[in-house]
Amino acid sequence: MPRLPFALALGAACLFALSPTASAKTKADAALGKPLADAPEKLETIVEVSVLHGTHEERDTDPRIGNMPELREGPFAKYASYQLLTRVRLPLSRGGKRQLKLPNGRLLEARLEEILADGSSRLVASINRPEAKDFLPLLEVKARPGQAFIVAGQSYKRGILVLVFKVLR
Amino acid sequence: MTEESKLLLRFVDQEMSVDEAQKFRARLAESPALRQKLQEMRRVGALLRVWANRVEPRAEKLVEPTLLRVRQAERRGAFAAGLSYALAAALVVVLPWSQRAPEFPSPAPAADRAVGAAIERIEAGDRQAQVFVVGTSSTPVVWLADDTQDDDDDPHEQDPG
Repeated sequence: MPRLPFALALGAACLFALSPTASAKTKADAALGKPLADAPEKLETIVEVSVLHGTHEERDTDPRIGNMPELREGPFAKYASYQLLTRVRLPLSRGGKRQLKLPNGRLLEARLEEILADGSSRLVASINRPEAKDFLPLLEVKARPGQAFIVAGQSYKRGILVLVFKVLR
Repeated sequence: MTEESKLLLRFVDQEMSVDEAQKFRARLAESPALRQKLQEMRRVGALLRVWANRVEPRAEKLVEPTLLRVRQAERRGAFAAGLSYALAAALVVVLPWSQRAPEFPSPAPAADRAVGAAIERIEAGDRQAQVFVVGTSSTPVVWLADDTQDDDDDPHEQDPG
């Protein structure tokens, strides 16, 4: 029985897990929408989250945002320009949660509740700051691939955060 | 859901027989607590009706699943929790911007944009939450009032109106 290679591999894995690189990577993963420990591996839906910052600065809107006519309408039009702060893809599977740390310190948590017969996903999201009063305890949305929804209004640096959720698959 | 809540729902929905309704009115006359619950239930109902009436036909498919879901949750859940919390503190839907844009033609019936995602449930605690669509888009927007002061923010600017 090849015990030596196995022992070497196990030792190497332990050393890597204890290394600063691995530790830093784990923390970074948690901030960038990686699964929590209880998340199963089976991927069922991918949600793209674009974090936009609307301000009164007279400058061009970030072209990376793409075509979003909504930003020129209603309350969004109160802000002169929008910049894309980050865009993250959250692969979701039933029973697993993903987290994304927002620029204002709050934590976005998303999970897939179920896939419906028509192919749409029922998604559940929350936005809260650890150890602070709840901001958005629960938002439940049904969306098909290609559809989007927007959560806006959070204060951030003399402007607002606009979170654009788009179901990619 | 308590028997009392079921009775209230049936009373609001006018599902009671004449005799039942008469007896229930008598109970209401004697119980201030019951009257208050009825008032809260009617207030939420009115809120939802205002919301529904303001929605243009193109947004019906966005709102209908939401209303249905809210109604199901209302019937399923406990009365107090259902009204004070799960129904999103102040869930007000306004569509002034969509009504203000007649110059735009109806959107092309592209599969992705013809019907937006459906906001089915919001729990916003005591925070004001508004759900609406803008312009010709069917993408639902959830706008939350943020009382957190960030540097020299003006809190009034977070109110969409």
